[in-house]
Amino acid sequence: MSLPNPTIRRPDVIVIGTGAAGAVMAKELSTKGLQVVAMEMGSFQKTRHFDQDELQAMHPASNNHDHPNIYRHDQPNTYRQSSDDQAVEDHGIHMQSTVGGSTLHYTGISWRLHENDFKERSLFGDLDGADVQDWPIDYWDLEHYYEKAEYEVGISGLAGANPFDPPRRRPYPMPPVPRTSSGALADMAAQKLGWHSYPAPLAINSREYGGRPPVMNCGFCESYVCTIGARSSMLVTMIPQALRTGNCQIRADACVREIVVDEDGRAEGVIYLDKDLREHRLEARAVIVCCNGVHTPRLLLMSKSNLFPDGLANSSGKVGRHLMFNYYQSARGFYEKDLNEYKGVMDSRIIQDFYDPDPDKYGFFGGGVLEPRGDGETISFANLNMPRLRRWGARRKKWIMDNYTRYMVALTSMQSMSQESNMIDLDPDVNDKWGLPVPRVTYNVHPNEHKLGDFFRDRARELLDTAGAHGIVASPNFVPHGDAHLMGTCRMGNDPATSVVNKFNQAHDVDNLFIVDGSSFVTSGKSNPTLTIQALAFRCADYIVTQMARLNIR
Amino acid sequence: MTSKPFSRRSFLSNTARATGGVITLGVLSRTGAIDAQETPPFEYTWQNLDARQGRTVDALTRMIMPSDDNDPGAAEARVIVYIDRALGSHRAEYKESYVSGLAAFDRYCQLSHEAGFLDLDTRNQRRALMGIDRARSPRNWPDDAPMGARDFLRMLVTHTMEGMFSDPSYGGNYRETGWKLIRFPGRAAFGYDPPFSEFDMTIPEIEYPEWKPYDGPMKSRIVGEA
Repeated sequence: MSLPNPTIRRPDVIVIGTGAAGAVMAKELSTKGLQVVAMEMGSFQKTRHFDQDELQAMHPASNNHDHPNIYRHDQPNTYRQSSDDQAVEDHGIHMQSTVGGSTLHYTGISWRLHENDFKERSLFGDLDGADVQDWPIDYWDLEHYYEKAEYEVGISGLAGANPFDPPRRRPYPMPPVPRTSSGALADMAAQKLGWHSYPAPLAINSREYGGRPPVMNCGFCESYVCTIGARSSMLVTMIPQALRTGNCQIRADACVREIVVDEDGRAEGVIYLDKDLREHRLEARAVIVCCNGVHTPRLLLMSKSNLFPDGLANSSGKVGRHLMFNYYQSARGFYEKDLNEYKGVMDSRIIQDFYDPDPDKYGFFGGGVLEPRGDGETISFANLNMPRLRRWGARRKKWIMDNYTRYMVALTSMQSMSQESNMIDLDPDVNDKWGLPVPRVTYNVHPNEHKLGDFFRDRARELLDTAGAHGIVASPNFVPHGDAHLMGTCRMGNDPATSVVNKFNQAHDVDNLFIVDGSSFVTSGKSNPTLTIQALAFRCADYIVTQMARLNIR
Repeated sequence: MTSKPFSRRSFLSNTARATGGVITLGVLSRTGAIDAQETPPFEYTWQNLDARQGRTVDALTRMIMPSDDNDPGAAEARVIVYIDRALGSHRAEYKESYVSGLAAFDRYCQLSHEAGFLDLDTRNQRRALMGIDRARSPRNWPDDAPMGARDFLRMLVTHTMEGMFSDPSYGGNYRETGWKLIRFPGRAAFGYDPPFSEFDMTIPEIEYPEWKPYDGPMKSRIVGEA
């Protein structure tokens, strides 16, 4: 059955971006009867256009970045460590720009932030060199919307299994997916260590749900688009629901280059470029920006006008500031028997025993999680950098043969500190294929991140060792140039002088402009921001509908 | 496509027979698990490398992923076919690096071992490859070479692994030789059912407490509701 995609010439709202936030907004608002045009800079693919070809997905040709299977290098950026440096071209920012966004290929881990995540400044105090603040909302503002996201998007998991989980009113709509070998080893190790391993809440079906089939445990999960639609990506959940209302048009291959304002400073609409770089103008009663932590501030900074000479909604000067990733460290353990991690989802267990340890006791601020995992990639495995092992020759060959089925990774993901100096702005020299300035990333770690890294690397080793690994290789600390978790760059707050949006994701400066995605985050959480992005979007949609009904937004 | 004269010795050491632009590649006289029925010699027409370049790359891939009496390697996986084809498609950007890198490598072999790579015996071919696997380019690596010695080797290794382990539709991993070598059963159209290994089969599932709805004050706030 083909879905309608009507041409809507004068929408009520324009949603820019069709990922975790934009697709939820499009579905919610079109379901409430508003006319919606959702803009996507990339193409509109079907799941059947993707496949699990490692070469194409992970090792693409540099001149073939438009292929839908490739997400890593799709949108170029530049990087510098500090504002004194000259930025150089880089591909550290991971985002998929096709309809559905990065939900097409994400691991799908979907937990709720904890109550403490919203008030770390109050609970744990300040940290030198960082700008840690409380959120203007708390867990109870999102609880209902987390539940809504879990049921509407489709999350599998086991309520009550994680003793550190925040309170919830309903269990998950589906039981967990099958445990992988790395999950089983994590269970064993955690029990010996007195930790609490629990089934990862995943945006992956464990049974038929929403007309979609259960997981097939194919082993090519993260970084690959699920070809059967078992992953609850936006492309197979919110997008078709939005289109079925008949009130939503997806306008793909349409790159918004500016949000335009009228003489009163209200958002009037957008100017966008089509595939052939022809310019179009589209107007609406409200504009919602959902391009995540890098491309949202970039678009606002490109939207300069007499009223907003420093970029739209940027009277605070904070648009693009406070860029956060989730810092991570990992260790790889090798075992005597097969794990066969080419079978199963990427990550079936999570451990949150060190989610927010006492800073006075541990000597660092914030915390993190352990996410034991593995995958089926063969080329990447063969090319792994291993100490004291040449990349070629008989010994390398034997090592690949002996170990491809016998390893797991203990990934640890942790908090990044909010720092005003970490930011996105417009690169003065480099343009993208649309002729628009690429985002320039300025990013350095806070020393606290490397303290976290040392602590969590040791926990990762401990996990693998307790599970019986005969060899463990761990990564050193590093300065990330980018990530897939992109947060903080239009942060939420009550004070218009220090934040960009209010607690309903409405721009302080422009009342019919909404910004909903990772950029709203005040703190980074420990990992896996997507469910929180979706909950913020469901909540913001409710707010827009009530405001429009009260004629606060005309 | 060009063909260059080559010595009888290189013919023997590379088990590759070239006639004009067509080359016959394969395993001519080997014993062990791989029998000639499974990987018969096959005719191949160079698409992007010339015959000398192709034979050199072929020989290098066989040292990077060597075959032995028990297990196949780059030869059986037809890695050379992958690389030659890739240089005209998704790895076309590396074509120039191959041309200049191979010329530099041959020059290095001349200066270090007094013969071009294809004219060296197996032992000296291996010494030549070891000679360039170091952080700084060796003394005899040409100063005017566009890429350093190790970068050249890294490129070859990376592409050899791609040819061993990528989908067979790209020309390498012939009959899933590479995947069978590491016991990867290939991309599974219908996935797998648990158990996935002895570990998930034998390690008991943790018994979690039964979930009860939160019995503290539910303070959920819904936008638009009083």
